[in-house]
Amino acid sequence: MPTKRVLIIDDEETIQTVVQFGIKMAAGWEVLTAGSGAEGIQTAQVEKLDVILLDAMMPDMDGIATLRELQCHAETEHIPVIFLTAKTHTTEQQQLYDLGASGVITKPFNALHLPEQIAQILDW
Amino acid sequence: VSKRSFQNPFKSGRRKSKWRISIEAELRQHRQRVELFSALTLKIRQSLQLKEILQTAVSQVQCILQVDRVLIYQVLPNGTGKAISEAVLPEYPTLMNLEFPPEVFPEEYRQLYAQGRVRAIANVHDPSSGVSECLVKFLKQFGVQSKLIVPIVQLPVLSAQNHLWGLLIAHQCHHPRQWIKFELELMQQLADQISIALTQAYLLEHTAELKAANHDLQKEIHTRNQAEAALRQREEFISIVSHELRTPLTSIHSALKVLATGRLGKLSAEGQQMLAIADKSAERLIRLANNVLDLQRIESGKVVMELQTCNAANLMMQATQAMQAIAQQHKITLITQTQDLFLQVDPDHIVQVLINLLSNAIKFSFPEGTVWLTVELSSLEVTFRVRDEGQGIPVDRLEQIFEQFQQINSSDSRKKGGTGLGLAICRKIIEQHQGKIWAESRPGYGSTFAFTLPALPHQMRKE
Repeated sequence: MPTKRVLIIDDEETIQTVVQFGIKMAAGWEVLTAGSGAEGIQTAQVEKLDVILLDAMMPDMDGIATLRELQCHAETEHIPVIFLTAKTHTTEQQQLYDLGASGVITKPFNALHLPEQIAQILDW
Repeated sequence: VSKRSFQNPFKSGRRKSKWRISIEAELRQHRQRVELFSALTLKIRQSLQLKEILQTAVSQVQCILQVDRVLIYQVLPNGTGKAISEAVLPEYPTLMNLEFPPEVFPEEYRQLYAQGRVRAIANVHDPSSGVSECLVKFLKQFGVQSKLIVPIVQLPVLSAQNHLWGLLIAHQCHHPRQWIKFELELMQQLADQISIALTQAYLLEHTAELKAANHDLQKEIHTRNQAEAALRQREEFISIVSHELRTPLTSIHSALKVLATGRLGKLSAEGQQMLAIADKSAERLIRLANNVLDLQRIESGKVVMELQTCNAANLMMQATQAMQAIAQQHKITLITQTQDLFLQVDPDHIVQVLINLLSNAIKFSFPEGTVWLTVELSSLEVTFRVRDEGQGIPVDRLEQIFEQFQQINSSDSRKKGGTGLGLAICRKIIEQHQGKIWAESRPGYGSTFAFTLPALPHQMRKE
């Protein structure tokens, strides 16, 4: 599989770090990090990305607001977004799909398995 | 003279005519009557104390009619009765609180009075007066010569029909007395006023009762609301904690997995052992967070069972496939004997129950053991059974293990990596399907966990 560029948007630094380590180690992909929705949008507008991993629950601008913002800009609207969420209920997850998410990965996950899960969701 | 008097009847003259005296007496009586009624009505309005009202009534009647004794006799449910209010001249004995024997007031009298009979007896000793012999005897004790009796009837508001509450009785003891119409009317009207007072007192008492009941209800509603709020708060708390646990658990779990790859530096054997412990514990914590949330969601009714027609064989195969690898790991033979039986259930949840029971059976089996998963149809139910050859469960614990955090002993919990919530969740799921779940065991020979689900009335043939 050719190398990919992933952006992880999560207010938890430890999550950013383990996701970065896990994906790099398992698949060798490049991982960019952002600690808030606003920062993530900025990064997404200037970087060439294959997928965005987006935390659903963040202070200030949450995952849903971030997704809406990404969908409003020509530079970012085409980038697939996969939510990372602690919400396990199917109706809550369905809501994310309805908003335009490409996939939902439930916490807790094993960061080493992320490349495989992402590839499966996006049919890579 | 009579003509002059007629022309000017109120002009004072040297001699009052007989006619004028009678007019004056009548006017006085009329005024007294009006006063009596206004006093009584006022009393009834001012006082809600029935005793006071009754006492006023008897004193006033005694005063106006100039009788020796006036009493209110209350009919008791047992057929007897007693005087509960009395105004009597000091020279005569009191009848207060004296219980009248039933024979002086038989049932037929009661019925007549209930229909509104009024009796005016000029001379109780006169055989034509129709007073029964025993009543005459009874009255004699108290020196009664004449009597006037009007019923106090309870209004139909309070009971389906007129009910005789009591009697208003006037006694003349000094001499026999011929009663006149006015006296009878007065007594009757008074009895009606008392009857109104009774209704009022009854309504008041019941209003108070209703108010008290209402107050109690309000209190109960408040308590329940509080309890519900507390429960909701607790549910919300559990849900938040369970969600909040997930993010740090992701970090721990992922960090340990990354470390375990060895690509950040090789660990010594002891280091790897420590890492394995941390990893295993993290996985158990994840299961616990999942189970707590599951149980809470099922208990609070947030998870609705999505019922659909399922084949028991399919559910059993799904569960078996999910557990096959773990069974092999534990060197356990897993034997599944399916049947095509049709059920109306939530397949994901029933598979979850089967997996949980199989997982327990495997965990608590000795290596080289066998675990059986079977199904059976009786008239109304489908029964699933998971049987193992493990150490078994003491009989007195067979019920308890379905409670939260009730493993047989806590060392089991640690060794087997369980959360102590699995069976509690299973029970909730089965109960939501109107089924039963239970355990049977022969300590030393193994255990069987069984649950029933309602069978579809017509078992479809396999296509």
